[in-house]
Amino acid sequence: MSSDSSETDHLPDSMLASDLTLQAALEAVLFVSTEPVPARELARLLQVDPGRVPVLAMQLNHALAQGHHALEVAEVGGGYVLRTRPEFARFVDRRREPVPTAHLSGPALETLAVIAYRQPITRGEIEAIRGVSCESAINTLIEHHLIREAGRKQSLGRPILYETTTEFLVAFNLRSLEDLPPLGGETA
Amino acid sequence: MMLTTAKLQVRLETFEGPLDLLLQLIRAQKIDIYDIPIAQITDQYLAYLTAVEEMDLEIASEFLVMAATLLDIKARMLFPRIGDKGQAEDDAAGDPRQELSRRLAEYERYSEAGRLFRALALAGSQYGYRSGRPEAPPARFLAPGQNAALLALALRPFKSRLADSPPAELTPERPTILSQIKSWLRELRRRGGHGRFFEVIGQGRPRRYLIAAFLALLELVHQGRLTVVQSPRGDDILIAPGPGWRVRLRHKQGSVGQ
Repeated sequence: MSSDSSETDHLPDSMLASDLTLQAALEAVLFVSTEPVPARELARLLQVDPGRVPVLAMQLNHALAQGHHALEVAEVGGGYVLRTRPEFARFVDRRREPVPTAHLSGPALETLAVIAYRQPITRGEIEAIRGVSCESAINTLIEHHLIREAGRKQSLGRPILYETTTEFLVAFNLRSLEDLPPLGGETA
Repeated sequence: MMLTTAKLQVRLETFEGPLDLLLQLIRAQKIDIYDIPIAQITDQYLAYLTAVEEMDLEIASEFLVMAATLLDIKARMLFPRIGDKGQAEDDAAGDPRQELSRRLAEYERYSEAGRLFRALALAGSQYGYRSGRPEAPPARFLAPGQNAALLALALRPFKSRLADSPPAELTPERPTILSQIKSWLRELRRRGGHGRFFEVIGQGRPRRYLIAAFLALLELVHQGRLTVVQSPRGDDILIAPGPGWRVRLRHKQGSVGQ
């Protein structure tokens, strides 16, 4: 999480026991989750007001940092996750599946960029922008779960529409599509 | 200011497509996208295609389409079309280069975004997440105290609805070996590389599908991605990862700029 430390450093020293329990409960839920858990879902599971979730996440993050843990709570892909911090990448890299996004080809990344900014979009529309066939790039992106089909466009031939996935947001460390860097150029 | 062949050779494989090539030619000379010296750029573009041809490489059709577009623009700039009323039509339609400039500018934005994405992906790959897709929830069986008669009762409304609905129109599926190779890899990746033939592709598939799936499996074994075992009794074929399991799928389109 990119929250700066000035906020977390000023937490009250004595937190209520229930707060600590909720923090631990949050940790437990995130520990067993293999995908981002939306704040609303967390609020339901912990039986707290949705507004408290970001506070609990911040407190848990603070506690993890204080205890010199490798984990951090992050808001990514439309929800919260527990993940290892970047400085531990070299230790865990050999234990995990190769991260596909780190090895995507130029055409695949360019195609992914077009889809990310213009979704939902058809293959024809992507090809009109890139000026080349994008079939293999699209297949690669689907294989890596970075994009998925999003219904069909109501136009001639009803072509398939594509959109990015939660996995895309997680892989690119984005909370939501609004976190995408602004597209360059005057018409952006 | 022609690009030398040696310079072209180095970059031959690096273009993403005709727009990318044009953009590089324009950038190399610090030309404004909205004021392209079309004759000069067309010559350079064609020189590039000739160089590619001389190296016996296949030129992707997109590059040829762009060559035609450039020549068309060049011609229109030399000889503006004369309309019925005698005035040049292109004056009304605007600069013939306009559409190309617009496409180049748009492409440039996404091309830059693509490069930015590489940095984002690299930064994002430094975080470690819980892996493994959650296992499918266990199938729900009848709860104690319920029985098949209750189940049949529950199904009744659905059955009557089925009878009312018009027969669905089905389009025949035409599986290709390539598509089957991809679906084998996809399905097996989900299963950690192991599986049984019929368990993966399902029972009761059409014969055409079975043949394509089987040929695709043989191809994957040939490529070393998978190994297969079958007992002499003719049981289901057991599939396991081969030495090349982790090798990325090669795409067969060997054309320039892909």
